[in-house]
Amino acid sequence: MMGEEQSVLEKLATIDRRVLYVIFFVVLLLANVFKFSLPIVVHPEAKAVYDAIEELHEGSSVIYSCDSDIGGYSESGPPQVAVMNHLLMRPLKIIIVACGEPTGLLVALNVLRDVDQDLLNKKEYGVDYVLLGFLPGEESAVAALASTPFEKLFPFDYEGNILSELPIINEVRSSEDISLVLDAPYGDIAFWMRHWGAPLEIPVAFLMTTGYLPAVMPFYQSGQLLGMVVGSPGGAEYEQLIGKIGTSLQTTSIMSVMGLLCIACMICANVITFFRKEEKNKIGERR
Amino acid sequence: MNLIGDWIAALIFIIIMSYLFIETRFFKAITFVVIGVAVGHSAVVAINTIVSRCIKPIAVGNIAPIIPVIIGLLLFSQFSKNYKYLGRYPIGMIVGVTTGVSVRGMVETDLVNQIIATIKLPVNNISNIIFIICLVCALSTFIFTKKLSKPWSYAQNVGRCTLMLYFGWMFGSRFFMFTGILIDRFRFVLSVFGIL
Repeated sequence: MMGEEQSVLEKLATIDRRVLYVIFFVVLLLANVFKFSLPIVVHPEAKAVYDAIEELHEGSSVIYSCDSDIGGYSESGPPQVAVMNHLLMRPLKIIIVACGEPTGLLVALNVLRDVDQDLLNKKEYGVDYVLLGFLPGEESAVAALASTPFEKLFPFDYEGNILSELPIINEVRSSEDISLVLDAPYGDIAFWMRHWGAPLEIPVAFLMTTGYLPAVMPFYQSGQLLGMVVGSPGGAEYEQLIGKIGTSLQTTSIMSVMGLLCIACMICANVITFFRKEEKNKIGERR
Repeated sequence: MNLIGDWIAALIFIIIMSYLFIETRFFKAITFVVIGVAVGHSAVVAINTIVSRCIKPIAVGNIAPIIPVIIGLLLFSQFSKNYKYLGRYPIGMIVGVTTGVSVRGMVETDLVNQIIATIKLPVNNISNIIFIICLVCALSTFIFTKKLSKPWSYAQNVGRCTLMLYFGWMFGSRFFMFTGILIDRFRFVLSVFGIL
């Protein structure tokens, strides 16, 4: 009512949201400054990807598709970098391609920039790994890659080299030579499963952001997906597995703190709403 | 060069975050810049793709790309009143090919294999039993042809609760996705300012 002083509950219920933003940023700042890391558990999904790469024979080929958007690289980058580090540790042939987003190429370049450069320098471009480039068409592109030799789809690689002149293409000509598919999806997630996993029975694993976990989990539980490395937590788990600890562990720990803060805010909001109703009922009864 | 780029990126982050407190002209300007960069990048990739996949092969005597080039050019007939109808053919081809490719894989992956996996699920632990109950109840929520009477309507209520749990999980996942992005960018800004 006009003229009445607001109760504490009323003030809390109508608190300016900018106060909450300030609290969140202060907590974020403190969590970054006072570095800490909480223990994490390696989930079976990430372990499955690790085991699959470990069990590949020498000279096996892996196709790594960067279909994710550059805007989400902060979250999707850590698992990709961790897995790429693992690929570089092993004697494998790596085909890097972008079929979804045009910015997938930028993601691929960022991943190659952020991996351990000592490991990358031990590999030779064109012999151990190649960046084919962007193939437009999303699902049509993935379907074409499954049924067409790579040379026909990519006459030139991303750096302008004639693909047929690169030694790697003599060993990895088409999908028949690929042993594992690693996809960093964005948007519709099932392209590679539909055209490589189910018909060709090539194992498919995802390196993705946390946001897609609910949509992807049914495919993992049904056995269609080999495994997945999910966001910064997945990146932290994978870094533990390969023994190369990066920033993912700290990010994951801060995510836990932010999550707890969010839960605390939700609980407070619901408690305040409950007691406000009680207060209003009491005021109503007095009148 | 990297130093200038890092400072620009940090400044852009602060301007964008300032939207939480007050909308400024700088924020609007940055949004236009982001849109411009995204469109520009897409345009460059599109032009590079056309040049590398069409122009270059045609230049060396491979005439096969001429047909898709002509079909692609028909899309521009949308700008003509008299020849607008020609644009329907390439659009029809794109929709047809995309749909055909999707449906071929979708039926096996999204439907058949998922149903087979559910049928094969062993009913020997509480988790699997709850899963099957929730699956059936969630599917019953989408029965619109007939209003289900009690006790079958309870299945729809359980199904709605299951769907709400899923949406809550989705929300939580999205929250953590954006939190992860924020944390990484915030750490980047702190490192640019020398705090970290």
